[in-house]
Amino acid sequence: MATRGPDTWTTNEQNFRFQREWGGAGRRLFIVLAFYFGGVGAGTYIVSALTDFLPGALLGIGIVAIGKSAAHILFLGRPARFWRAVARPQSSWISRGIIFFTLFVLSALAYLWVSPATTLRAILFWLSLVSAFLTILYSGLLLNRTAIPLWRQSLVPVMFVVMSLASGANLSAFLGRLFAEETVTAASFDPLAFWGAIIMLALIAIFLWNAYGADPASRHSVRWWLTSKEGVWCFYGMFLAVGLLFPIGAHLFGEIFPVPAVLLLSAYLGEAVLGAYVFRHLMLRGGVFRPIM
Amino acid sequence: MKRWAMVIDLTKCNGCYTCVMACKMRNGTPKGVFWNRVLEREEGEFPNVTRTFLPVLCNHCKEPPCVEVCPTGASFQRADGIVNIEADKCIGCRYCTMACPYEARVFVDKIEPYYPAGLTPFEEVKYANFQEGTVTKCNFCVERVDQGLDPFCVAMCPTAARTFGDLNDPESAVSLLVGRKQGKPLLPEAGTGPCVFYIK
Repeated sequence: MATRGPDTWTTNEQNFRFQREWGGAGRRLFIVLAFYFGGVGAGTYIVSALTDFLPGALLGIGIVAIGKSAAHILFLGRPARFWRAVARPQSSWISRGIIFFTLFVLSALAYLWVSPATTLRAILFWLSLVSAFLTILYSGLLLNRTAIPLWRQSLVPVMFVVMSLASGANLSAFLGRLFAEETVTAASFDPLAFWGAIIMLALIAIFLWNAYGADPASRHSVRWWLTSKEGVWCFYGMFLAVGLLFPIGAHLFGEIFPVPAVLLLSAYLGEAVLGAYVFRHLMLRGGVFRPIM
Repeated sequence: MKRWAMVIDLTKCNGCYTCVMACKMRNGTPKGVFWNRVLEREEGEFPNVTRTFLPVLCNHCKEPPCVEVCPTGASFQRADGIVNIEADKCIGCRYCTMACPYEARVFVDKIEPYYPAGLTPFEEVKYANFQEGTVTKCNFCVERVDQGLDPFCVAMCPTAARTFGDLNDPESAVSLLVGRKQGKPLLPEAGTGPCVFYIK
């Protein structure tokens, strides 16, 4: 079967069409960056705030406040109208998300600014944590509300949360070891980073299994992840090997032998930068619509 | 209250693309932007091969997911069911294009002329209705509908494969076609209540 149309209506032989508006070429890539910055930034803040690790908390806020905001605005077709995006929180996850991450940045900054041991500070602490969590969660829920069967899988928001917390732990651990050598704080991120990667590994296997059996379109997405040229490179190479298995291996190796600092730092960055970004890239680029015909 | 709907009789459609061109002519959509499309499919093996055509457009759903997800209110639904976009409010986030199961929405990235010499007078006039960086889609030729006329693709179809009318009126042609000839929407499992029906 083949379909064609008068415009750039590109289909493959099975009549499936990949979405290319989110995460395609050029400025369309900014949406992947926005999801990535939101997840990693808020994840780093949560992990760092819970362990009183100030550099991590500041970096997390900065990533969301600057990186995520800028990426969202640059992605828009009409960036000057960005302020309109908060108009419909009653039904749109984009509006809700902007409210969440604005609240997160403001409450987190206020929390760090307010003098210690006051009730207000405690309130701000929990407010910043909850809004940071919602900043992570909403990306997955936003994808759940689209017509793309792969994104409608119920595990998507869960994976966004786990991946963000894991990458937040890795980035915090990286910062901790980079600036403070073997501090207690830096070492305390390791279990979270390790178990985050393990859980993510399990989740991704369940997700792919479920998606393969759920719907012909999501099956096509899974095939793209696992067998297409880009998918193979991204999934096996960058996401699985560098993003998950390398950090897991480095951690396990470190339990037995002394690990060179550069190896640990690379493992942290591999997960927090490459793995976390490529996860979102795969998710968006692999989005396939149900065939109309 | 009226509820506008369209019925497309696929047994009459011969894939002439008149609807596509009529829409282009009437609405003057920018280069690469088509509100009406015709999908084609070849089935069978030689010598027993058939070719089917499926004209597609915005389904003006009863519960349009594009309207629900729009963060600005640029996408809206009129009381008569027509789903439209207020371009001045659109920020170009393209959430609606991801939410529409019919891929009926198009993002206008750049408005370019069809010919190297620049915009033709026709393009100059028509392209003024579009904004770069916003999403656009079929609006059932809403100005014509408000004047009591059929959408242009319906009026121009040479085989009269398209019928337009009020679905809430049990005596209307669309209601009768949907009822008697069992018109079916595309992807009913999407649960959006599409108002474009097909007769096979």
